[in-house]
Amino acid sequence: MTTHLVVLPILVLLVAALILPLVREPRRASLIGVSALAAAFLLWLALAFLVMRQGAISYHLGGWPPPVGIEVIADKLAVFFGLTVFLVAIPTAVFAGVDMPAEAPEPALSSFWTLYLLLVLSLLGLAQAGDLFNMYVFLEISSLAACALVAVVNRPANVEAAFKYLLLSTVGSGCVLLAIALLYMITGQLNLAFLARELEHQAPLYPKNVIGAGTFLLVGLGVKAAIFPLHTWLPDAHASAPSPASALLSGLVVKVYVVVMVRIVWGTLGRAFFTLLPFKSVLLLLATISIFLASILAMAQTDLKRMLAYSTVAQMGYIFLGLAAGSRTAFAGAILHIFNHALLKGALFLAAGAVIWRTGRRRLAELVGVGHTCPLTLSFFAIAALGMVGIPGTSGFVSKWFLLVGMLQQSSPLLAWVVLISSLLNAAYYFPVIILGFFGHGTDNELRFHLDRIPPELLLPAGSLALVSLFFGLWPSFPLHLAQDIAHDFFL
Amino acid sequence: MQNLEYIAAMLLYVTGLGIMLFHSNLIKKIIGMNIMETAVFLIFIAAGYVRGGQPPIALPGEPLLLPVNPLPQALILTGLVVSVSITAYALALLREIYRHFGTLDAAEIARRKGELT
Repeated sequence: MTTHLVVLPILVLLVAALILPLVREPRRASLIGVSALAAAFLLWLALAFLVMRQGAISYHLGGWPPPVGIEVIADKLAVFFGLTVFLVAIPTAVFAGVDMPAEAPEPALSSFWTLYLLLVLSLLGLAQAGDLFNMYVFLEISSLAACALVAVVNRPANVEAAFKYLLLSTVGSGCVLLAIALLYMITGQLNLAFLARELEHQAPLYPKNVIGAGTFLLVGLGVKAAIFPLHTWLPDAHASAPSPASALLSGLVVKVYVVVMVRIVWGTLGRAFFTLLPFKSVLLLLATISIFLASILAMAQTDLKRMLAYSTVAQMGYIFLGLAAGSRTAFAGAILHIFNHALLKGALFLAAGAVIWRTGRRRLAELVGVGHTCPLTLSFFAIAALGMVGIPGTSGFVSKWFLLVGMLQQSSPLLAWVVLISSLLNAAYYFPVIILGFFGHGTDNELRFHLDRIPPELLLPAGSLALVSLFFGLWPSFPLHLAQDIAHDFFL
Repeated sequence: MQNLEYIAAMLLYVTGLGIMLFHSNLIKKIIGMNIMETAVFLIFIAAGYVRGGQPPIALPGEPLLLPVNPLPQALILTGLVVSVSITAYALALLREIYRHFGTLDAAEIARRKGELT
């Protein structure tokens, strides 16, 4: 009975997602959405507790064992990412309950919730999938749901961004499927554990297949995780999407592909793969370019959400940098950064969304002096922004610290410089927003200081994400130990 | 001539990708996307085919000599469903793009979007 717990959170979300299109009333739809998420979260907590105590659980769908049956895995990586998902998705859902009626037309609201739950369940499914084809299916669910969330608001910019996103992420999925085909051709297996065992014998015999599979995997997941030069879709999509959708897309969706990459490349393809292909060097190079280019482009932005979107590209670069640096400490830092960045970027997008809800402005030049009318919201924004820069005491500091220590242990000071200098660049585009927001004088006459006139449903989610990230910055042991265990299991 | 299907699939793949990258008409981009996906499906199906093989169905009393691998076919059926839904969604988006911008030319849309902001 206990083992069914592995798939129950996904099932709860799936059932709720299928019921939601029948619900016409927007308030009831948001209530069903939030309560389904809460129920799934409780089940996930129970699962997490079980996994922490007993170790990884393998669940065989329909009772057929692999390699013929479908395996669903609940290990520390899955549990870690799932907790991240819920920590971001639940506050965002509360936020969306108030924010979405202001952004989207009423008929679109119940489909917004369907898409929201489908997206969350696809993220959990990707983290738990034990075989390649299941991963592909969840990959497609996640990219369709994500594209549709961008286009929930029928504005020209949204539709165009969604189309670009859809086209590129389909190319990405196609590449992943091709990689799966190449691996299946030589091993005859789709289940990850069996594939890993078979590949050890087959990789030396068919090196070209392995090299091809690796290249297509890198391109396919790279498009979806927005690594340079495949990031072009991200700023448009994440900036134009409604704010709660942006928080979800930027905080979680791009990161799930990192989890998938860790599971396939590090967890399955293994050493044979790294000797055949300069995978890590390529990843290091692309990540470095991503970090610098995106940081510089972020400075040039005039739109708040677009700036945050470029910052996501840069932060994804840190994660890839840590994975490929070749040190276990940096690997753990990268895994931890998945968690930290999800919370921070969620808080930033929700705070930005609350400011936009209150003032209707999103251009940076118009947001000067916004701290007078939205002091609390801007404070939450500031906490999260300091975390992005990596100021000591914030959660961003902890993950960057581990990245740095790992790179120095690996005696690659050049990579450490990349992290340090780019932190300076982060500061260069986050600090002006905060300083001008609090101390600048806006063009309008609303100079009198007063507390935010923003409903608590918008304020609290942003605040809770910012404060939770601050908590894990001061006492990081729980996510840190999980990340170190994951690094222990997967690092090669 | 043994690997003819793989060569054909690679040609299709490159053709599809080329159409997606180099044509500015959005409908053609969707067509290119479909050609590319079909190429991947062909590779998968070809990987499971056995020359001179039988359908992989065990009839009572008949031994199953040399069956083709049914797994890729089942998988690609799922892949086709995914591909159809993505195409349907892309076409729906395209309709809205045409309504907003009055054109389906990528360069023209980029120009008009610049005027909007």
